[in-house]
Amino acid sequence: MTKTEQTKKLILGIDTSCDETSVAITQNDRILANVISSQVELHKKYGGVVPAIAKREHEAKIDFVIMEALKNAGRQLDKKLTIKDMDAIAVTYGPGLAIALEVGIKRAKEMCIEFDKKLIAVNHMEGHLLSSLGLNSKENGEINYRDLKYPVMGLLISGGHTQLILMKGIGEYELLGETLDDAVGEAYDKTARMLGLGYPGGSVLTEMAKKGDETTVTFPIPMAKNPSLDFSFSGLKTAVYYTVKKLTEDGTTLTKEQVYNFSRSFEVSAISQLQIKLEKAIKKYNPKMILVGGGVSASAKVRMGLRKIAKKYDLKIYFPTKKLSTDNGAMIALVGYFKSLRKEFSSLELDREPNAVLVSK
Amino acid sequence: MEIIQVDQKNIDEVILATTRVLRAGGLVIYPTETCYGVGVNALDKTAVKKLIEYKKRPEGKAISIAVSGIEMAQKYVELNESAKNIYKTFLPGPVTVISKDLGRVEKDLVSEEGTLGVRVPKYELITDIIKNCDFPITATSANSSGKKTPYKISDIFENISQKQKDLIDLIIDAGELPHNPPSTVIDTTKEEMKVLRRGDIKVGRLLVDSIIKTDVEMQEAGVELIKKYKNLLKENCLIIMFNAELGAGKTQFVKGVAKEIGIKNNINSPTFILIKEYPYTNSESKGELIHIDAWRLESVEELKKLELENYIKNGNILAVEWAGRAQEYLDEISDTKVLKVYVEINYIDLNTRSIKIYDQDGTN
Repeated sequence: MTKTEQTKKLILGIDTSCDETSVAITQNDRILANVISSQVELHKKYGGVVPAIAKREHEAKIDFVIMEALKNAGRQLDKKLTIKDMDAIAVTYGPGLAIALEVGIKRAKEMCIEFDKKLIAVNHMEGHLLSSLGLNSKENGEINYRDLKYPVMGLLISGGHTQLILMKGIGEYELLGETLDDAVGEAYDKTARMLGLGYPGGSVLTEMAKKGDETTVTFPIPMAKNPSLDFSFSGLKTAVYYTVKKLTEDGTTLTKEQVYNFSRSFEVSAISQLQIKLEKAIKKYNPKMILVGGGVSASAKVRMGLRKIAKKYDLKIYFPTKKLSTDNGAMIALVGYFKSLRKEFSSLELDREPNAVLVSK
Repeated sequence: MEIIQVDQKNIDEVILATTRVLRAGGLVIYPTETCYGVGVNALDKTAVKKLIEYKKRPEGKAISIAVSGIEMAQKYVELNESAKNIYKTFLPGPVTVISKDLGRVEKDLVSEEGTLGVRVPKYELITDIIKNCDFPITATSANSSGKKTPYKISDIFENISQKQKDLIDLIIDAGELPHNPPSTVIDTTKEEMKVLRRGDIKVGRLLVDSIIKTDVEMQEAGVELIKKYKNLLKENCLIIMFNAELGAGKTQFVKGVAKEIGIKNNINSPTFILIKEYPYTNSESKGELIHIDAWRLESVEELKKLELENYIKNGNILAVEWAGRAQEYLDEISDTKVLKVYVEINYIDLNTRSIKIYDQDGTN
């Protein structure tokens, strides 16, 4: 290893905030490994895939996922890596499902004690917010964190969250608005279910919408005229539900065209609301650039809609790669790196905070 | 390897030749409305092994099958109501429907969860071949896993090795196909829990029966309920079970509950996280509001994994959305200190709901 290699920090990041058991290893802002349990073959080891909604499932998987991450990261550096080589262990403390968060925190603490490592507590939402700053193993990425110009407007859109966050620096955040009811990704999945597109059907709905015509039916855009930066998707969901209910009451099923058109009209309304709120936030806070995070950002139509607003205000907008957009350990390790630079370490008393809010400390 | 150029005149001949190859366990490259696919007899173990070798696909990854129509599909998978609707609406067409496997196709094609993808190509030549064979064939694109989608035979040849080429027995060449995207995959297996059955909940006395017209009124209904139970919380745990359709206003009701016990947090949907906890303290009691949403869970077994028994404590309020089939479990974990109410919300029209609140038989 060269001297600069030695001064680079290796962080192991763990996320068990909900369904996924994910562990990643970063070297500064470069992602060496990012293992997500649902994307690796665990069946051979555990005799069947089990949804990780429970403590037991996360517990069963976590050590295997840690080993995989060490193995993959070691391959990038051409050496065998162990926990001993890590500079710190970062772990999600919230928001998330309590019984799931506990597993990651417990394992992180155990490793810190056994190998005398520093513990870093990471807010899951900060992970999503900074996910587009992660560089791949060849050190390429959407944007390097050194090039950020503040204030940055953050828009987080996922199955569990919809938030606007103002970022005055890494670690300096202000929550500007969030959903008052359903998250945008949840609205996609629920609408897909109503249209008979299975579960989880958000991405199927996006496919169907490509063939749809939004002029045949118009769904409302909740909160469009509300001056706040909060979101709401429940009214949109209700409008689709009621329309479908009326049409299918007598036992008929929706036609192909109706499914296409309703999908498209839903998408138009949902994206419009994101655009309206983003634009409101831009006008009010004059950001220098925009960072988007969360699984919904993988939708091409959503990206297109948000790019349009960014372009109108001549702002650069950055999106994470697909793998970094959904829940993953790399974004946690990445935040861990930034926190380690600021020496923001946690005590071993760290406890889960299922309702954790991302605010400046 | 044989290549047949298909045109209007030789269709019957192509059907016969392809059937012969497939029956003998051969591997066929065939055109569909999406792209070129690779087919083998889905019931033939050796043929399926050959296909997996051709695809260079890691073992354990499921592979879909193509059938001639819904009747044939039902021999191989269990079609639930939503699957039947999708067949009716979208098939034949570029849609793959995932259903529960019945154990008749080669197990290498089946996913780890015991599900199987089925499609009916909108390409008569292929459905005719399947009918003639009388067995399903594999329906996966003719490229190696992860390689370019093949719309013409040269797309395939450019990206495969000689070894892979040697595995092909027959190519049905229909020229360059329109560049349509791959089929859309719809999973119909994960919605058992989401179908709420009426009559699953045993109810007691009718406490409230009213009409709600706005979100504020719905919140008010939550406030009123808690006013009735507030003085009992110190010595009891309250479970509020909802039976209501999507978008009926359950979250608004819970917002009212939260407000009345003194919770300042923004209450939003727990669907993704499954459980949200909000601690509270007021002059009469303290505890937590536990907002639970079972909508995306597949079974009561999954719900049990959430270890809800840990939340049964005096002072706590459990608001359970989609509680229909969870009642038995909730009964199981309840002790004598648990009070239960049952909230049923129904649509009257887009903006109007009827709400009925019952207590549970045998409690207070």
